[in-house]
Amino acid sequence: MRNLKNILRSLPNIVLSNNVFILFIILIFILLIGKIFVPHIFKIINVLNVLRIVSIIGLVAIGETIVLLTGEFDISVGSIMSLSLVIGGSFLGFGSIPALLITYLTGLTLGVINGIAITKGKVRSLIMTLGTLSIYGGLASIVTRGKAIYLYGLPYLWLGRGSIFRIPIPVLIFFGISLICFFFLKFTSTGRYIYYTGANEVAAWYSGVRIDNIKILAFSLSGLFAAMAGPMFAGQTQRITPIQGVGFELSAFAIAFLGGIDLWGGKGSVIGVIIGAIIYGFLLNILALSGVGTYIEQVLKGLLLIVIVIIFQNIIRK
Amino acid sequence: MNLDSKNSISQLLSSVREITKENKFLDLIKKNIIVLILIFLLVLGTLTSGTFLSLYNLQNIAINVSIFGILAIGQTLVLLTKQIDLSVGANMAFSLIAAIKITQILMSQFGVNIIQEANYVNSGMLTIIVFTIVVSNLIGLLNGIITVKAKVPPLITTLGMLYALRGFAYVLSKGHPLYFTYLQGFNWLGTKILFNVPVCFLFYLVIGIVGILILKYTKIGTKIYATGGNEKAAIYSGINSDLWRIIVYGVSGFCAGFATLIYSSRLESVEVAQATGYEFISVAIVVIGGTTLEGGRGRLFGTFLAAIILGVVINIITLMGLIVWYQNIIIGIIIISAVFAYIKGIRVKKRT
Repeated sequence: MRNLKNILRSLPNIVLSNNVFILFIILIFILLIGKIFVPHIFKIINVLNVLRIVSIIGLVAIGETIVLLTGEFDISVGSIMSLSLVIGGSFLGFGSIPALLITYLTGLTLGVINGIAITKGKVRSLIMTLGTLSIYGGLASIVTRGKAIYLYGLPYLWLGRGSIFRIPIPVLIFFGISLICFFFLKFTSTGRYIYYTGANEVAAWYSGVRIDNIKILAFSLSGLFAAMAGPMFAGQTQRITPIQGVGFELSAFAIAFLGGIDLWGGKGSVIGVIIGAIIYGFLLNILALSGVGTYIEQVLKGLLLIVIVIIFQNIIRK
Repeated sequence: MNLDSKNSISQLLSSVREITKENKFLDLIKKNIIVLILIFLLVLGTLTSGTFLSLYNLQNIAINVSIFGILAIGQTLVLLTKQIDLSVGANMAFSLIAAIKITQILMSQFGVNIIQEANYVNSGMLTIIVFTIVVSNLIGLLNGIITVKAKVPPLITTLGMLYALRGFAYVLSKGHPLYFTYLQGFNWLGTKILFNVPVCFLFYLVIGIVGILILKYTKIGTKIYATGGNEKAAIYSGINSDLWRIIVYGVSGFCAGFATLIYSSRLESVEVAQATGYEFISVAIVVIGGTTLEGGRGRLFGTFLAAIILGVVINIITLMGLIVWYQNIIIGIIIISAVFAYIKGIRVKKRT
């Protein structure tokens, strides 16, 4: 009971530290600017729409965040999403729930493979996930022979399109999981070890942290979350394609860095990433609705990533 | 098993280890493992396909190798300074499309329209070539400046650039391909064959040899190796490591520009999705060639041979009738296993 009280007492402090306050101001600022260019931005239907997309990208970003906190990179999240989706999708004949379970299990396994090769095989995470980005992506195309799987009228779609009391399911899942991750990272010893591993690997090793296991855990969570985001995205588009996850690594990086996660690991909070995801979602929403055009969206996503990192690296951290 | 026999086994093992350590022959094999792999692949190709050794197929491989190889030479320099360039493939699409658009705007000032029938380019070859090289070089330098001066990790800079450049290419071309069928002489670089050797392969040889000589025998080479090997030591010995990092990115951009000229000259067209995934191929080649990601270690000669290896591998895959999906998987496996092999001890000795 006293423990809980302490946690509750320290909550405001945690919320206010770690750039979260700055991010909140940025969010309000962006919303105000958005209001000028897009008058109907605060309509409930638009807000829910944005939050739906935010939840899907944000879930991948939370997984990426955990990997970044341990000081590694995971570029393969997009391909993990595609491959787990198509493998799960080929079990749709057995019903929606087995297909979902297999999707999640595949994502977890792919993440574990990344983690084991990086820690036990001593391959750098950058090159390993670059390789698996290409391997998993290729496998995904082979599984469906490059075709899409259409999902009309399946309970599977509910994950992406359903809602409870007007709140979309993806939003509930995203906030549920990020809350769990927040408490896991802040208040459990394993969570703290993730921070220690990223902050100073050698020191963590000397203090008895099993770095290898921590990193494998981080990569498997990243894989699992990418796989969980997949069916929600497929529910939105009503189909599973082998290129569904292409480009998700870019958004995940952008959101994580926007949320104040340190480039070299060990610093940052999940709350920041949640706000980062909302900022990212509204930014793209404003750009789309103000008629900038669809071709340029990819350009903006790429440039946004670079600009965000430049700002955080050179201005805010000083 | 008693203690004596255990001891004797361990003695035996250690003596075996010493023999292999001193054995010049094994050392020679370890150093030249790339050459052995290449010979093995050539034998494999000959055995699996009747057409592998035909002159036409070999020329085909040579043209592909020169595109991959020129990209990989730039990538090698980047990796030697402990960076990575994932934007080369996108740069290949963007620089040529941008060059055509710039030429179109310039020429229209003089009342000349270089594009007929909506997407056939018919004149202005020299300007296009010059601007392709200039634009690709500038993109490379921009990568370098963002990475070095704004302290953005190279992975983030070039990943962001990958998407941004492909997007820009979409914006400029509106997604339509452009054809060079009516552009006289543009296909010279990619299709001309001199004494049974494709011209572009000769260019690859020249660029490769010049690169090897510069890295090995000039101060520039030493500076690049020092920047990647030990940055602090390099700075204390008066090497402007920031400058060299930017220059190396510029060279990588230049290589992308040259490679896209060969690519488009061969296909007589350019499109937005051009050279998708070539960044993987270039990194794979460099890693097979023995350059490590830790910087400061590796030989350009290794890259030179590794490009031929990858060209042959892709050709064998194609001849076996496996499509591009399998190709992606195999290249991914090659990247990881090559890194794994070098970690496990088949290292190229550090240049002293």
